[in-house]
Amino acid sequence: MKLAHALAAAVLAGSITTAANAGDYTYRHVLDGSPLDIPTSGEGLSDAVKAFHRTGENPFVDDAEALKEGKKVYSQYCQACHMPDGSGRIGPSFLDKDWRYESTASMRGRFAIVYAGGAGAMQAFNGRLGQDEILKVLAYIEELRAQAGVE
Amino acid sequence: MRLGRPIAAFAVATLLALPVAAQQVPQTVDEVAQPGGTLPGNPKVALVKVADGFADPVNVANAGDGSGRLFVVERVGRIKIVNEDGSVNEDPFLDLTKLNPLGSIVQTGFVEQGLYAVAFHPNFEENGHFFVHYASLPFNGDGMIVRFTVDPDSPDVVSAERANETSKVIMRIEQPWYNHNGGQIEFGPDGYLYIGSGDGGWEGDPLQAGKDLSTKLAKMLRIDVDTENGAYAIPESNPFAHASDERLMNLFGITEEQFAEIRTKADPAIWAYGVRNPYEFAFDPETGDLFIADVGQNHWEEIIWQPADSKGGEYYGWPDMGAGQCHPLTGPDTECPTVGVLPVAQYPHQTPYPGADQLDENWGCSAQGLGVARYGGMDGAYLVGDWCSGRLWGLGWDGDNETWQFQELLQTGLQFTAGGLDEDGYVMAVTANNFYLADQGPEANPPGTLWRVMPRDEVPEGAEVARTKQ
Repeated sequence: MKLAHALAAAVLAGSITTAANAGDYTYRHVLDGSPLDIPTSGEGLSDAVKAFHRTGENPFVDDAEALKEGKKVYSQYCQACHMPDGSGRIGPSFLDKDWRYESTASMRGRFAIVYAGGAGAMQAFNGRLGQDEILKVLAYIEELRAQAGVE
Repeated sequence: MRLGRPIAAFAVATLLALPVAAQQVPQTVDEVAQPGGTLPGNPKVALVKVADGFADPVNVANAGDGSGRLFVVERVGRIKIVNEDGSVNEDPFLDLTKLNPLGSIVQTGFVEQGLYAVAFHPNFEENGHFFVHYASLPFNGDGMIVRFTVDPDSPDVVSAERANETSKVIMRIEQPWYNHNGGQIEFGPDGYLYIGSGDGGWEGDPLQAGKDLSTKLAKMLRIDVDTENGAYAIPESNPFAHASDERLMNLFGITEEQFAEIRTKADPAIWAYGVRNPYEFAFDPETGDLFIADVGQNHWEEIIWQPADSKGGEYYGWPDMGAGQCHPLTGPDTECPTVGVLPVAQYPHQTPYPGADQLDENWGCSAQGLGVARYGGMDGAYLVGDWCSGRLWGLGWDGDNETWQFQELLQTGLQFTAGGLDEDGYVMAVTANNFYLADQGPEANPPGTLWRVMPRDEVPEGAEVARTKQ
């Protein structure tokens, strides 16, 4: 009871910022499955980011403005390895039906790998990108898949 | 004659009876090791974090002076000291960004450029000499190898004044293009300075430098720095030491072998040729054998092994071959003659040939040699990290099966850039966050890290260990 109260109070105060709050979802690192400490609420996060962490839905999919920014980020950081059309070279293709990892089949799993890194050159982009930008680039990847006719 | 044969046969039989066969260079492409092997003893290792916060660390070395210090080379042009307790000195050991009032003398414009390596003289404790190799900004990216001398009263900081006063330029290697600069410099067990020199860049070896003995590009070089007479001396035993000496021409009474020793344009500093980008190499501290991680082009990476008793002069195949593959590689069954001395191991990129399906496992993109491990069950294993797949491989000779083994030891989330040994012989690795298009310059990239490769059962309690694929 005491613990529950404390948690509720903290939530009300908006100070709890770990993955434990993202609904039932725990973000995990794709290499070793260990839980990640990703801020999911609190100051500094946009409403879109908070909504994403609650629902797992990326609000920027099909949002023309956001896709423009997502493309910019993609051009700068992603296309060297994943190619401009997402067909992959050093990094895996985004245009396959199957994803490289089980977890990256979901938007939250893809968020985790961009945020915290995967193997080698798939570095942790939280050092370079805000969460908002990560969602926008993930939305742009959805756009690339749609363009290529991937279900 | 009749006596000779039985003795020879007996000698062969004795050799065969030895429990462990000596290492051999593969004679056919089939004998070149590939991922999927198992090192003798199947060692289990972990990467233990030693220090972080480095601006694109691209090498690490020790001074061999008993101080226990490690010297982390930052691409930006600084060398940082890491003390035995893991603390990092705030003031750099050397800062090439501050030697010249006009600004840094190091060109870092492309990710393959910068300060590459530091090597300490075998008698560093007495003479204070150390050597660096870097891409020079004033010389438009040319590789400069320069000697500096430490002030004994300031062992941890070589001031700008001291560096300028004591600098001696040993060599300048002209670089036509901004990639494939090689980088590593290291003293061999023979006391000579070995230099890894890349093919000059672009792709496909446009200069055909690998086969051109008149250029220092695409070579392993070997020089004697212990001379007051000029920048360096040529070791008498270098394979082309006298190949280009002027001489009178005699056509008769000369054997074909003697004719073959005349190479009128050969640079006498050449030790071996036909390497593409020997960015990292290392000597086995026990045997003196040389391992070279020769970075490959589109499809394959290769590891070269040269035994300690080599006389030099090997042609390692580039640009006629890349690793154990044809160059250019056009498809799954490209045919070509096997040329030169083969590597002992090779591993593919994600697409092993044009049009191939992408591999899920056992691939990489750029071989970064770390060092030779002689601990934790590893009996002379050369450790290699990959820059883009985060894989750590071990290469070693399997005497029981008379073959080289190439084993994936770990898959990490790290971008390996180089390695070296600490004074206790542990292999150290540095990792950065500067992969090609994500490179924003050495000072803007997220900082890199120094690791120690340790046997998994020796990892100290509470140590931070690199995340690995489970």
